Amino acid sequence: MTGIRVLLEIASERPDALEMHSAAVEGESEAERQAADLLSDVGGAGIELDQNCTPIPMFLDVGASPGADFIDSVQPLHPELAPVSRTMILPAEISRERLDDLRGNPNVSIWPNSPLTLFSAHEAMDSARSDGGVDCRPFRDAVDLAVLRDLLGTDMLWDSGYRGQSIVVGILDEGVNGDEYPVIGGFARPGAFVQPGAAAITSHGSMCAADVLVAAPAARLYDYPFLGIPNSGGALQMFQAVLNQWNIDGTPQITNNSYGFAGVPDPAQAPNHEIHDINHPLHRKVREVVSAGVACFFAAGNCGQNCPSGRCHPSGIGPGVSIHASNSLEEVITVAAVNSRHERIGYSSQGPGMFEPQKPDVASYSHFFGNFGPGRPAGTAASAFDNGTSAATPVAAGVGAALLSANPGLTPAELKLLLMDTAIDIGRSVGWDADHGRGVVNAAAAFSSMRGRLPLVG
Amino acid sequence: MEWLVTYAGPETDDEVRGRLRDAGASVDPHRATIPMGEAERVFQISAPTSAVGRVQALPGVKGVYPNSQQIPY
Repeated sequence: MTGIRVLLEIASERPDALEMHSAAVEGESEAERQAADLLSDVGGAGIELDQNCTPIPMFLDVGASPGADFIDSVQPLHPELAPVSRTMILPAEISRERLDDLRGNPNVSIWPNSPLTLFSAHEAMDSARSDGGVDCRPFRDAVDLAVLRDLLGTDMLWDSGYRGQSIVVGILDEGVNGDEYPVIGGFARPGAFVQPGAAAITSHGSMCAADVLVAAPAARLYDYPFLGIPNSGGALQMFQAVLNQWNIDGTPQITNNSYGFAGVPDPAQAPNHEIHDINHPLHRKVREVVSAGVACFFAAGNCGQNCPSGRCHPSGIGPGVSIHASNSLEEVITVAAVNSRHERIGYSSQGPGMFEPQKPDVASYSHFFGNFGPGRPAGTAASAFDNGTSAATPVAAGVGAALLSANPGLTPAELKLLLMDTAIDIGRSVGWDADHGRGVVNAAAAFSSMRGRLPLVG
Repeated sequence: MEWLVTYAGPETDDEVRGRLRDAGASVDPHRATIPMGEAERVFQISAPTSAVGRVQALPGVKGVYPNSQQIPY
């Protein structure tokens, strides 16, 4: 029979509907008997029931709200009560002539029985592990932005209209290419080699810019190029510029900081080195900036024990010695790196932090085609991709920007807590661990949590 | 070596730079000082390790900290 697939809803008021359904599920012949009984009331000619179909009881009329009687009757506390069916549903294929005939029957309703498909979004999540693992050389393949956005759950924020608009993220780095990325300001020392927005598209700062926009494509950027003179005095000056700008107009609301040190000096030789002295001016300035209201995301570092970056000094490799300086301040948001399968990338630095022990705070995604890679702004070489905790950090900062566009009133501490409380806990322990922090940032979960209890823009 | 000097006192930036030079430091006159809290300023200087003690001993100097190199992650 070549007919139309429909769901037939036939009036059938029965106090034993649940028992009937259980019996139909248990035995094919009982299901056929029940279906035949239902069809006998309307005439079975021109109707072919789906194979293995079981009549499904419906307990509420169209448009009816569930009353207390119904709710009580389906609670396990009241096994003596049973819900009374109003109708039964039969999936069937039906001829067009018979369809027209049934449409005139007041005891029958006809509903579409449409094919469903799996959302492609599930493919990304299905490949993500929850029990950890390590991605080390040779690294797994990079993924494209669509996979990353599926994993982050950006659609939920974007569908509600929150794409990072009205939020400015400051990129403290080597400089950002302003032809490709939305640089609207920033700061450079007078006479500095790189002015805001003037860096090459292949710069480290341009990669960070691309990666902020993964979750917050409507965010804008300030460029603070200081890594041309990469010392903490340069960073100090840039954080002062952030504070000055914040004092003028409340921007940038977020800074991204994908840099740091690659070794730990002997504390006996350098007791007031940035890594050892929490009162170093740079750390004090960072705390000033955070307390003013700017959320500061810092990369954990690339000196994890499994496959540390070649730039790491042995003194700074592995747990307890690879997250340090401002990157380990309690006030900042410290980000570790995982791949799209939720495996820690083996170079991602590991806690405890040298100032605040409970570091990193969260993990985020790296190894994807953002600024680098086929079809991306900085090149087409298949082997190149955005990498390092440098890339993971602006991805998390972008999630923060998207959330702030929904609720600009979040303080840095509130934003940090929100990201941590809603992170996807991975690894072989529950809660915080030194490899992944509280887990992988998730925009959808953070937004869901915020939406239920905080006022949102619009 | 590069250092960051925190300073608290009524002197002008140029006056402080002069004292730092007298102590053996090299100071870029065009590099702005960074305010730190309400009372302190930060000066960036170059000085041999042997001069750090003299800088530290200057009136108004609160601390002398390394100005160390960082790398992109």
